[in-house]
Amino acid sequence: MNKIKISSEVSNKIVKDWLVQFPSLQRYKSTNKLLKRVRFVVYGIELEKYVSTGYRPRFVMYNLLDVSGNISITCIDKILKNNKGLDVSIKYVQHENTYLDACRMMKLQASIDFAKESSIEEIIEAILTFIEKDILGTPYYSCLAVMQLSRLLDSEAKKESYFNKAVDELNKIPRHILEMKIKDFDSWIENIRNLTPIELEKIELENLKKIKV
Amino acid sequence: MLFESGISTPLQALGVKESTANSIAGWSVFAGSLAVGKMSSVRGLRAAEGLSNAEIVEKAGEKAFRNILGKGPIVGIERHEYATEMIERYQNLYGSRGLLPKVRSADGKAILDILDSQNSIIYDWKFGNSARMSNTQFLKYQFYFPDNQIIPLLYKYP
Repeated sequence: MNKIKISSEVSNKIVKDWLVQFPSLQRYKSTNKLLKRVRFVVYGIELEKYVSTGYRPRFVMYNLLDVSGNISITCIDKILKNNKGLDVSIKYVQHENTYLDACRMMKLQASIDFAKESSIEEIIEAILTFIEKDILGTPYYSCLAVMQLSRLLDSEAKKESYFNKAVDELNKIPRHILEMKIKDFDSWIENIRNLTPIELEKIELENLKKIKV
Repeated sequence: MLFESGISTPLQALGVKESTANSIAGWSVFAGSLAVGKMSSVRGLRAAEGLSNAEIVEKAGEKAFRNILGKGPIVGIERHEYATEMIERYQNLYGSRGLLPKVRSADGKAILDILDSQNSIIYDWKFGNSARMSNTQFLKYQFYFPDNQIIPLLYKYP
């Protein structure tokens, strides 16, 4: 396992190569994240520095309504899988030969079409699919995103249906674990249920001031 | 081709000689199961064939500990990377065992060494005599990955 020091030129080139394949995304500052914003969420691809010899492409979605300190929190964080079901990691030395395959896989495996502007409903569906199929840890943050985003929908029926789906998923988490985060579960749920789009926008603006994606 | 020719068994794929696989002369490996509040052996988890997932993770850590010498955080990172790559190679050769390296929590505050998604076990390599899993780390893992058993694997110098 030879150690390779990756220069900023190499890492810039890798980001640029991916950007060519996903022109609708934009590089966030000088990070290795290619993102796009729709209302209260930011989603896209993170080229995670994995080990010193390679990187891993991840499909990520951040909820701007929920931050921890100044750190934004993912409501979708999915590592690309190869045809063996293993996580895809790309060695820097093999990037040229392998990244196009990875880009193709990303287009298939991301539950959102990067090329078009996604609706709030499509975003909620993508999060629910992630909770159902891919989540490895607690669904707390993903459920919270669904609950908050559902408040933006026009249809009352859909609003409640999505909200209740998220609450059902939350109820699967052992209560003593939830209590590490939430003191009074029922009133916490009701507070989110009563949020209006204007209030959500206010929260978003406050978070945008301190956020670091 | 990931390995030099001549390597054929799963054990050899991890670079562990058959004769040394079950005895680590002079070196100690302990597995503590914090989630159930007692020490337990990781060898008890037997997979359908070849090495169990627990053994794969344990051996990968063991090989990293033996092959990368030194002390301190940089050495620790290198050992973790080495062991991670061992597990990747093993699964590339013999198929997915549900061993997921470097799974991170939604806020990125918890990054697991290995999550055994088939058996719901979190493995954490601890290299060196003073390496311990802190209570903070344990609670963090418990919150972000509920319903998983947490097993720190401790590797000690002779």
